[in-house]
Amino acid sequence: MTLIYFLTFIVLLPCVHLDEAVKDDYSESLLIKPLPDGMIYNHFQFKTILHQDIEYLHLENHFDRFPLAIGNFISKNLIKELTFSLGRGHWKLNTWGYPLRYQPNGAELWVTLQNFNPNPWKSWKDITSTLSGLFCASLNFIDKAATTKPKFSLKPDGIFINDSYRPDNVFYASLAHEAVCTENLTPWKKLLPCFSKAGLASLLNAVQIFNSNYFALSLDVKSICRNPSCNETSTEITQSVQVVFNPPAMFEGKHRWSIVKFFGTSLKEECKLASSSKIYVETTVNDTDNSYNLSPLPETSIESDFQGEKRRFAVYDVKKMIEHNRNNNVNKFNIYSMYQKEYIYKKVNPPYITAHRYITGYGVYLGGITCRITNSLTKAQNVTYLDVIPWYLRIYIHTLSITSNNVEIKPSKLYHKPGKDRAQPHHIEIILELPPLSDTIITYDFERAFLKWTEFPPDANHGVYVGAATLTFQPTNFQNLTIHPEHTESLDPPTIKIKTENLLVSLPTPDFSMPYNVICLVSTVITLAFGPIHNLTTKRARIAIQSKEGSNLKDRIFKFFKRS
Amino acid sequence: MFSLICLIVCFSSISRCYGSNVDKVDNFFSKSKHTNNWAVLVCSSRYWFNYRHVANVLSIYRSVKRLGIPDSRIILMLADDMACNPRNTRPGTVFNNAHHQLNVYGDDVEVDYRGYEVTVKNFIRLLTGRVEDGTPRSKQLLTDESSNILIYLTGHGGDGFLKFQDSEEITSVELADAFEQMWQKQRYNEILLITETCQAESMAQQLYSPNIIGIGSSKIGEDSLSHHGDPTIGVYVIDRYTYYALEFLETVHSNSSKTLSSFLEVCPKKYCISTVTVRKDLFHRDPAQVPLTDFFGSVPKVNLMPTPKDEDLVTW
Repeated sequence: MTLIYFLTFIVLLPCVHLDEAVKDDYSESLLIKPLPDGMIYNHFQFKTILHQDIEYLHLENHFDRFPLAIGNFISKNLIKELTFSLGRGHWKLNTWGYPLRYQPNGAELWVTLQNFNPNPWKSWKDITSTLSGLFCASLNFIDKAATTKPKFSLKPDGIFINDSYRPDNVFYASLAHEAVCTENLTPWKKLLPCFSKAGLASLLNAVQIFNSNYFALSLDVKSICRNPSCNETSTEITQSVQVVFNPPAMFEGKHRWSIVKFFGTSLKEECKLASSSKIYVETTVNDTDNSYNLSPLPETSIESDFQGEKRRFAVYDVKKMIEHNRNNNVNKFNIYSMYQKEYIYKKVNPPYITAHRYITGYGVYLGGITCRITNSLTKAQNVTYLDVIPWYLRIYIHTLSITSNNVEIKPSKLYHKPGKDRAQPHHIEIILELPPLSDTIITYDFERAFLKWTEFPPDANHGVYVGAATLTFQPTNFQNLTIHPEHTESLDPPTIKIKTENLLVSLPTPDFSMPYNVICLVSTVITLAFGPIHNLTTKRARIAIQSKEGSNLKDRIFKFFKRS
Repeated sequence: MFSLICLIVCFSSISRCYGSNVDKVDNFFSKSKHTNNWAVLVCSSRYWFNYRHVANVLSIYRSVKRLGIPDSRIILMLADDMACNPRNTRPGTVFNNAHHQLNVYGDDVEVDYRGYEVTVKNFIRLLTGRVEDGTPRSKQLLTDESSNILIYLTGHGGDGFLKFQDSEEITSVELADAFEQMWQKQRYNEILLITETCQAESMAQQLYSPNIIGIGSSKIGEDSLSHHGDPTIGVYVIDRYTYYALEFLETVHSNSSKTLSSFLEVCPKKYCISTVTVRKDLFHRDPAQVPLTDFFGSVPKVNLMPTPKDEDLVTW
């Protein structure tokens, strides 16, 4: 293998050197969107593009803005696409609409390997352990028993030249119990070219952003077209952070917000390595009767048309503004927003497709999982449902029922891979058409398996988590969609992935002190039994010989005194 | 007679020689031979009410990091997530003081083993270097025969054991055997073992490998007590021994001449309430001559190798 690399290296070396245009590009942006219920959604996006095909990344021996650790990691494990995210809190789908990237509580990893990977399972294991070291997360708990290879749900995000995409190379796993905190954010920030020293990343102050209603951190690697003809690809790495703040909780009940108050610091310095550094504030829903005023006034305002859905954004160029401030000897960069009148809460229209999942049944023997998918559109919608259930909840597939408004419906496709104890999770994928204005219920039953004594987590009575189910669909209505102004050029209709809630299932737990009790009891019994048995077996019984002495008076008196 | 005089003169000259160099020789042998410093900091307690154990370990983490041991050489094990625990009213922070002067979690922390990963098995594997294939470097103790290691353990203990995660225990015998394995594999030069648990003395009692100094926060039969609680968090925030040890460590800087013997006296009984115990018999240097930075900081000695001659160089 090394020899092949070496030869390719020798052959391709001149081309690499001649191509002076090979460079990487870094850009950053922050999208601030007021959510329908008054909360503020902040989406940070840091994008680094390396003009090198991901499959030839091993030829790159000098990384400029592209993180070296990720570059080496990709070329070592022959990765084509990678999506890694960590989330904390629950995205309120019904009130907040669709985010740019949906991340449930816990960790999620989805990797597509390159086609000529000689040992995909080994790469997968190396990927999980490397990422666990890189991001201080317990991803090494992802083993074969937690991994699935989805068939229909996860379509690639990036470009696959000559249709080289093979679903067999896709690996997917989630860890619902994974905690997210500063230790994950710290190494993530260190991958950025300006670290957290300058630019928008300097706003990511751990104490502030963990004091929020929702937080998600992600890293995505994919291939994009290098030129319009798309015969060559570049490698793009997108790091994003999503934070939702509740302004009344931070501004004494007032509906206003400011960057300094949210992030605890003002933007002091721009990242000079960034080709663009922008802050967008969505002003689409800025009502005429009670609008909010942004200060300072935005430099420009753009209007984007996303397949008929119009959005307005106020644009701030961070580099220009900091430069301007510096010239005027102002060292504080802040954007704040205030309503002219009292904020009025309005009825929020939920998105037209929502999914919620919950546990049914009682006791610790049998149970069921139900997912309720609502379609409030007046036309049918095709969706793909993916559910991965750990092996210790044994799914009975014959109990699977899909009903819509109490009428049974047939899925267009159903894939089920039964779980194997300690080796493979249960994997269910369903493609179905949701009837117009319907409430579709997918339900199936399971039986809880007995775990071995040592397999229980330390807090066994807390229960175990089941990762979120994924619902994928191509929207026909873009109303509740969050649209990033930099993404409007793509002509393909976007694919929306929404996640259901994680489930917490209690397992039948043994009495962990039982071995100690048994040891104590058995030891007591043995001790009690041992004494008499030992006496019986080791001592010889003898008839005591009555002495003939003591018949006379003198002896009797002597004996009497001796006894007393 | 002449030969006798000769002998006396000879001896006296030798002893004079010896006398003038005695300090030099003593200095030479009392200096540590270590070239790198590592720290293994373990909090083995789960659940919110054990907040103080996480605060203990993070206080030490902060000190060793300040004194120059980089994150790549600190193995931090936290059995539960306290900073972002739903019960923490100030997410992302861990305070070791009710006055909230110092957020010991900071903005730059790297936790290597966390949550369910903190097990006896992983701890022993880490020490002995018998980690599973593909374990990332940040989760390995890549020490050699010239590494000084600071091992700090905190949690709930008893006579001869330390509880991990409220579900399993490491015994002092297992710990002693792990250290012996490390010694045989030349994985350390010297070890400073600090145990902040109840009956902590017992953890160092079974050790039999050389160059280890063991500090326990309490005698066998004694409880190790917490220092004070924080009403805004609702739990105790730090243990007594670590509180006073930290107070002392805050006065130490990387060039400081403070010695190990002064560290051994940081918590007298009237402050600690428990008796701090020290096991010195395995340690061959005099603690009064050992700079504290031999364990808590990273002040490596650079060994220069002789420059190879041109003809010795392997050229391609």
